[in-house]
Amino acid sequence: MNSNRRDLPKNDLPLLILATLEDGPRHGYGIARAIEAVSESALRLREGSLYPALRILEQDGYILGEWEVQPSGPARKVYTLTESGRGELRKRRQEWEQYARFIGTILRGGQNPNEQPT
Amino acid sequence: MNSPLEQYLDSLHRYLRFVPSGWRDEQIAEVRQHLSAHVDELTLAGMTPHAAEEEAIRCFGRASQTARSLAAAWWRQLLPLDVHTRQTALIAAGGLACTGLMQGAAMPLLNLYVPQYLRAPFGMDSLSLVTLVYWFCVGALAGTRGKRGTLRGTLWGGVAGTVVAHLTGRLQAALWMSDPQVRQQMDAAMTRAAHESVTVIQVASLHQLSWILSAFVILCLGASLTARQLSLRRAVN
Repeated sequence: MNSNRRDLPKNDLPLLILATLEDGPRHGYGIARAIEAVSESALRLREGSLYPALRILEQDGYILGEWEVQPSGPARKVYTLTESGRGELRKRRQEWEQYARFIGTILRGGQNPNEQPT
Repeated sequence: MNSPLEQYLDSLHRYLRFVPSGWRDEQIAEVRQHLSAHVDELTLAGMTPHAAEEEAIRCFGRASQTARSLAAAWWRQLLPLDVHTRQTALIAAGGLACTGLMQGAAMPLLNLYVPQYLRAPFGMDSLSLVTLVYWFCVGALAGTRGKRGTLRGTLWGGVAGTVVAHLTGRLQAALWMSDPQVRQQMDAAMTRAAHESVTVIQVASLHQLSWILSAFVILCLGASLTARQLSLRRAVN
């Protein structure tokens, strides 16, 4: 267990859901476990916050949720990333990377990481 | 006695009683599927079923919090606006309906009780005062969001709401009084009221009712504004 566990900010959840679904369709529980696994348990997700975020992404047309009947056990809802969702993921990813680069530059005292020290 | 999981789903069902049953059942089925999968995993890892259910529920979060977010998502599909704009729009629509009802009641009041009706604080009748205070609060609510919760934004919103309500009221009165028939009725009512005695108790109770109504509306809006300010401050801190 990672000792530096942080609560995942609610606003970042849609981006992480889209990124998780890029690898293929998943159900809600699978998305929660994937986020936990990829973050090596460093991010603590309140799992109940996942479903409202999924509803909103579904309403916006970024993901598609379909009930899947299993041979054994109850039906489960599986989510797939749509074409519009892929575009949104690309956009949000670029924004996030740009934001992280700016913050990184400020924390390094204004030194661009691409510049070679003289 | 129900298991912790069933109790949790029951409370989620209760909290979501104001959304359509089909939509609610689908959400609950999905939450059930999520929790069951987590319980199975924890049981396989060696936990007792009861402890596993409690742990899965702990990870999922409070039912009230989950239900609130789910209900907000349902409202969002109904009215694709953010929560605060939706609240302001609903309050404004309620205000329009109340103002319409009060305006509807104003004419019989004027006909029957002109002197008492006009004898209200600050030189204006109580209905106009209620309307102006109401629109101050609606404007303040809208301004709170527009200026990201600063006191100045709230006050400017309130002032703008009051000015717009006042100007609309004056325009409405001017249009109303430009009708010669209405003007004649008004003059007749004034003359009659000057000569006839009126039932003071009835007038007093109508005034009390309007003041109680206004106090209630102002209290609700004040509480809503305070809650909004507090939540904004919490978010900033």
